[in-house]
Amino acid sequence: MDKLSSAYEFVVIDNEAGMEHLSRRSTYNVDLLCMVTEPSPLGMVTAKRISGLAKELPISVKNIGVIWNRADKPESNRELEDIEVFGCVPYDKAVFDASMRVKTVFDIQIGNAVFLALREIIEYKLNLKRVT
Amino acid sequence: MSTTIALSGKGGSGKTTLAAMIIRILHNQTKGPVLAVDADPNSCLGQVCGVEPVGTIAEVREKAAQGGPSSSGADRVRSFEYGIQQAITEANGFDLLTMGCGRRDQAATALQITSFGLSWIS
Repeated sequence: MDKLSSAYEFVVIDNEAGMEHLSRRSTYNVDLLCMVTEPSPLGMVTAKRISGLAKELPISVKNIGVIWNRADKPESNRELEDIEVFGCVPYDKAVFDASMRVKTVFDIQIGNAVFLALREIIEYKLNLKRVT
Repeated sequence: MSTTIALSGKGGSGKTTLAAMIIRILHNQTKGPVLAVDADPNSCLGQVCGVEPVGTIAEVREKAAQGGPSSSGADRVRSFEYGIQQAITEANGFDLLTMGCGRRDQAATALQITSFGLSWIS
C-alpha cells in the first residue's frame, strides 16, 4: 500500500519521551522535531539528551529545536549551546484550566496567547503562508 | 509529499497539549488533511483533541497474531492494511491514529508496537 502519510499534508506525531522506538527503524524522516521542555535546569538537561539521541539515531531530522513551554519571562528564552530555540510559549490559565477539566484544545479560544505563540513558531519553521 | 512534525519531551512538559494545538493550527491555517499520531503509550492525544480512538495499532497486531501462522505473507500484509485503515479515527479536520499498549502478557512491548506502527506511516 502507499504509505499512510501520502494521503495527508501534515503528520503530527506525539512521541514518548525517550524516542528509543525510532532506533529500531532503518529510516524515518522528520521535518520538524520539537523538544517541548520547561525552562528549568532539568528541562535543559532533557533537551540536550534528546538532541544527542536524535543525532545518534538512524533518523533524518531536517530541523530540531526546543520549544520552551510555560515560559512567561523573557529571560527564560535561553540559548542552549548548539541547540536551536524555536521559541517560547507562555503559561496560560485557560490552557491549564482546560487540561484540569478534561476539556479539549478545541474548547480554547483560537486567539489565546499559547495559540498565537505556537502559530508564529509553526508558520515560521514550516514556511506557511499566513491565512487571516 | 507530506510534512512530518514530531514532538518529544518529558512527561508533564505539556508536549501532548502542544501537539493537539499544532494539529488545530495546521488545520486552521492550511485546511489540508492532518494525521495525528499518538505514539506515546502513556499519553492521551485523542482525549486532548476530543476524539475517542476507534482502535489502536496494538489491537491490529493482536488480531493479526490470532490469525495464526497458516496465513501467508501476502494475506498478513492485506490484513494489516485493512486493520490499520479501520484503526484510523476520523475527526473534524484531522484523522487520529493511536499506537496503544498491548494488554496481554504475550503482547508486544510499546516499543515494538510504535516502531511497527510508524513503519506503515512513512
